[in-house]
Amino acid sequence: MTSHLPTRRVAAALLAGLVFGLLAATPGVAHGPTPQKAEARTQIAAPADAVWKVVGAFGGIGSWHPMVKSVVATGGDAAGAERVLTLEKGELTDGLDDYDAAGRSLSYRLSKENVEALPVSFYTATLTVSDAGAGRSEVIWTARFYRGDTSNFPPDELNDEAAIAAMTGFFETGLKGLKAKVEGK
Amino acid sequence: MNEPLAVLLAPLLSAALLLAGPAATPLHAESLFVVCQSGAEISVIDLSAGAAAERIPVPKAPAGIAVSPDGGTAYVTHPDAGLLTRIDTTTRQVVDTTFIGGQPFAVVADPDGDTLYVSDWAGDAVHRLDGRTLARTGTVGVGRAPAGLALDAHRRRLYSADRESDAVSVIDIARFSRIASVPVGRAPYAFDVGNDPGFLAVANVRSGDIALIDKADHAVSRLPAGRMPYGLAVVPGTGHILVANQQSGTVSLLDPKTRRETGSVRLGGSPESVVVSSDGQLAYVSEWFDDAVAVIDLDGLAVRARIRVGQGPRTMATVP
Repeated sequence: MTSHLPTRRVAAALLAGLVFGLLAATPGVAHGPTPQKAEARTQIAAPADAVWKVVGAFGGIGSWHPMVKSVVATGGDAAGAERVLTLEKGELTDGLDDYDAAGRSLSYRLSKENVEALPVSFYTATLTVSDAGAGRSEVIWTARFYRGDTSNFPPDELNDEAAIAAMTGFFETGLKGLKAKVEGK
Repeated sequence: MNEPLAVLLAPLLSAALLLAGPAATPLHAESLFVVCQSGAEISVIDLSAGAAAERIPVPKAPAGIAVSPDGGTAYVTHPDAGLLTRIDTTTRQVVDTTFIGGQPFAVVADPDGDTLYVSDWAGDAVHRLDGRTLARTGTVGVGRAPAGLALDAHRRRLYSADRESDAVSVIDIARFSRIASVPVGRAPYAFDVGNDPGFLAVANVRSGDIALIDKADHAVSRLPAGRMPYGLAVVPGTGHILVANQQSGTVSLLDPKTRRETGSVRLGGSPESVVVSSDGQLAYVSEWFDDAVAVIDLDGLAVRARIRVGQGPRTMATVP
């Protein structure tokens, strides 16, 4: 051993580079064999059509979701539309799959993952607004998703539990923000 | 994680749930074994009664299932833990759980003899196992993320849906070597059971269509389906293809001759896999999000019943 040991900082940088290289070398790891589910719902003191007017705008999520810093959207509310969400730790891209204005329901998928921003490797999600009677409405937001690291030995921050916590937290925080916006509180 | 896990699997629940009855009663009618991934159980549906009769607890995150040619053993994979569980279908108890390594996902049992084939999702390979000892007797490299497997007993071919390679591998079973990789569309996932002599159908999750592969020359034609088609089955008699469109939340019936959809029915919660009864009258569709199996009358495509099962139902197999 004649060479100098690298400093801890250099070693960390090398390791980070190695890890990044591994991630970058496997762009298709959008899916694993074990999907997980998240579901959040809330009741809002406003008619379903009024709530849909807010959440039904695919590119408008930044106006009501507290975790979404900004949105760049293209394609409007037609299947094939895209939105790039900027969260605290980075960007995610969603693609709109299905838009059912009459049924007040939209379905989309993660088309560009970023496990730094949200520790999941893929999701499909559906958001539906229904009439709950007496001028109230119910919003249900569901997703099917895969952990950030789909190998059999994921680090804690990229395992199933982390993915479920992040996805559920994203939905619950979003619905709270939506309720506050629509109810004007 | 290498030690056998059988000791963990004392079948505590199934004994309690067995129906008491006269000893002379025939053991079981035809049943459907439903692999419930989040619930870590096999829900057993008695097809004559149309109800979930029993639950067989298994280790964490079961995924694929196959039944031995004599119907006596069910094999269940656990990709997250590299495990394979054997279940005695008569006693409905776990026989053992064995570490086989990798991410075992799909499994098929060879109708000729005691051999299993298991896809290894992360290993990009298909392994051949001795059905009795579960020892690995061969491995063939395939494309990336092999999901579904189908076996054509007549031609002695094994097909692997290599999801991240957008292709289907064709394996010569006798030589256990890959003889072709057929591009089929984006993210092929599940096959029909492969009984049609002329073609094999595979669902392309991302391109939203069904690829029909000619078994003789591997020519591919594609039929449009709904969004994110997962499970599919060819209906005996009509030859129509029933497909579960997960993101659309529908099951649709496609006619490969006219290349058109002949009907569609909306289901709840992420329809996943499809099994058609041998007489072609009924279909069973697992609803992953709703923890249910929908029973569909194929004449008119109407939902006849919904059977509650364990959490996260995915694949299914009929057991005689």
